[in-house]
Amino acid sequence: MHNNIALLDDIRVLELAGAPAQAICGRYFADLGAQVVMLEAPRSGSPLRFTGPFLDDLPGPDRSGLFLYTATGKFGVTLDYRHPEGAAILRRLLAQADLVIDNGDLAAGQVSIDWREINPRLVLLDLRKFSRGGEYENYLATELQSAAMGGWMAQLGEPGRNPLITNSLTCVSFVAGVVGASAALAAVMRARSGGEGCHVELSDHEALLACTRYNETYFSYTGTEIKRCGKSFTGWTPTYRIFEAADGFVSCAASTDAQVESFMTLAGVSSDRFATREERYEHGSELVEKLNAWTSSHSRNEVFHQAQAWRVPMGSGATVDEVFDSEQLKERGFFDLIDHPATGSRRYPGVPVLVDGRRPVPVRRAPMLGEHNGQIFCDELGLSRKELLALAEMGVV
Amino acid sequence: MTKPTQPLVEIRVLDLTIFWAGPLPSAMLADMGAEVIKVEGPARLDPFRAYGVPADAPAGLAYECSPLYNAANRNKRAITLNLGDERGRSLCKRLVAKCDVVISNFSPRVLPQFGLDYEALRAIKPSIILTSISGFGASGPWRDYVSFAAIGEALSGLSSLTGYEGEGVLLNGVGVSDPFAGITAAFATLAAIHEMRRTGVGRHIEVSQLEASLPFIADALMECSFTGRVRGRATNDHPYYAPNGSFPARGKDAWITISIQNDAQWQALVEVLGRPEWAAAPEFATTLGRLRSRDRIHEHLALATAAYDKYELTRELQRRGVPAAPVVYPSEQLSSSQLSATGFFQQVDHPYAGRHPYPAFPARFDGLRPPIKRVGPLAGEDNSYVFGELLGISEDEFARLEEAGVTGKPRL
Repeated sequence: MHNNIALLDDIRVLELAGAPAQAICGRYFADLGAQVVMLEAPRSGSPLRFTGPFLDDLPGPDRSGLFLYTATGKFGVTLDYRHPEGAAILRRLLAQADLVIDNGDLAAGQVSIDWREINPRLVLLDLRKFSRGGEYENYLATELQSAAMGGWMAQLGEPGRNPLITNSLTCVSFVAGVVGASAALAAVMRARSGGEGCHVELSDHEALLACTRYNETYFSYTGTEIKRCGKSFTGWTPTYRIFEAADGFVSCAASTDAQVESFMTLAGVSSDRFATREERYEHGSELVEKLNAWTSSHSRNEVFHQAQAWRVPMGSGATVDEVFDSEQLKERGFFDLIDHPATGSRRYPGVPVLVDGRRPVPVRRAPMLGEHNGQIFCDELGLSRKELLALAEMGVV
Repeated sequence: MTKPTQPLVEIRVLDLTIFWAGPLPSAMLADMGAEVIKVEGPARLDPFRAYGVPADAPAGLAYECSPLYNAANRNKRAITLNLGDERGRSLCKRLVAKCDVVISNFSPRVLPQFGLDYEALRAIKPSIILTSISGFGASGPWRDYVSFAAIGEALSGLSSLTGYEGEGVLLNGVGVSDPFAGITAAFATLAAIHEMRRTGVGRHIEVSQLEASLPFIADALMECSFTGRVRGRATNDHPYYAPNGSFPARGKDAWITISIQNDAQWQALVEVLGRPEWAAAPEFATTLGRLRSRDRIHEHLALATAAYDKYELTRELQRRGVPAAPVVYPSEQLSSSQLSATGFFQQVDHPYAGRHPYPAFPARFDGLRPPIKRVGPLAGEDNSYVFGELLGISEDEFARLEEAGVTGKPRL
């Protein structure tokens, strides 16, 4: 084992600031040690700086929780690459990079830069709403449309009522970013081992569909359409569902016969009419009612720990504030405490991976707008301070 | 040179995973060309095989006909090996020496019980990478607790955000904490492979469902951290898009989503709906006005959209720059012209289950989709390749091992 856990410290990533998918992709690379340089528009910055939630509900370029979380660990520079002087700088950055996370400008030809010619080993990750080549290619989408077409909304809501998404936009918009991180890294590895660069294309639409539980294949095999089912799940055991607790809810995933039988024993439900898997499916709602009578007379945590002691998969329903105080997450040091001049010290979700038993810690807080212009443009690319000043007054940086 | 769609051809993975959260990342590596060898006990096959089996599956072969197992294990090889037996463990160790990566989603106490913990694996091969996926991780008070998707969702706070405003919690039917753990593990495993190729040293990567789910609700967690406010359920309401939601369309259980982000989109929506009288209210003309009147607009809109086909209305609204989309059900996905143009579903034959569509790897490399070469390997399908070719075990020895129940045909 070695001390340094920066697995990707020889990889250079350029991120053209854009949507949450690009931002989380860059963040996952930075978490594991890559040098990630985020390019923002001069004077206005990443659109995420103006997307909530904001510190104390007061918007400002260094007060967005979404921006500060996703930009943690990155270098920040400003560059108008549509300006010829800016494009020249972007070319030099691309020449040194392994991966560029595109916001659409390069792949769609918004800037006239032939990235393959500049750097034949460069990988371009092209994260889109819908893939090229089909009728939806240029469709607009918020998280709602991505989830509607990506098969997620079909599975959430009460039967007969309007389909839903979970009340978190990142829950939908981060998926393509994290899947894309794997595809892009594999392409970088190929380029490193004597191969060429690559145009990696991925849409929210297909990334979400790839992360559903193969419902289309299921339909083809069985003719059963997996649709939203309220507190439970079509095609699974009746005990895989939300139950009530005295102080909230619990989530139960009892799936195997042994798990369901243990849960029944714990809740004092006799096996009359529920002796076999077939009987439990047939009298499912009755079984659920009896189990619910037991769960709803105990607290969430009583149900959680007692069920787990019987090896029944059960979870206490946490509210968002309670997650910060979770005994498990505290013990494992999940949350980061990050100091930033504009916000003071605040808690952030940490890196969701342990390497050799240790959790990577972000090496820098989110950058202020253009904070690393001097370091990247002057120290690394060799622009003089005078040139940087001129470019700044021109609005190029 | 390796094909762009198969960047991982030189990687071999030993896959000790079951259900979905573990098989998903190893399938992603297999899609991109890695040789993934899935291990099942001859008497303990992957329990995912029991789900979704059609009633007309061939007698005695139901375990080969699960759409879930067959899709989640596409592009993999499969062997049978009883890790509860000393000879099985010893063969497993010989296989580890031939692999670059071991992926497991057993609970943290299982591999050490088999003598296959990271230290033991490293003693066999210092460059080995072990990726352990579990509900809660290998430490902490909940380390031995069992978890499936719904558990990670409840404990992460995600479930508390799921449902209609003012009502109880609903289940997110996707089971998102499984893929959240899976796609996180795929990326971290690739990062360790990248490093190992430079340094020759392996790593132990650990991913928990609970922790992997939390970045995906970062907006709600950061809101709590930055304002103290505890977000809950909100139907489909958005901080400033109004209207925003799913509305009934013509036909049974047909729905269309519409998001209005600015005044121009609102005007376009009103025009497409034929300028109905209710929509002319002056307070609806601005975003702040629409936010104040959101519920009233949603009621009107639900009546108006019900007259339209969800696909036709989508096309009309998108043509005018309005984000709109039908809620698409699984059967409809299979006939989507978009997905057939991009080659997302691939039809693959299976000796017992027949020919069916499977979702392919979602990214394309230089315009090319990684192929699905085969689906759901049969239990023990690659025993002769793995034990014979890779490990050099003679047919006689294999017969003795099969006789002893260490490998061979499933014994259920």
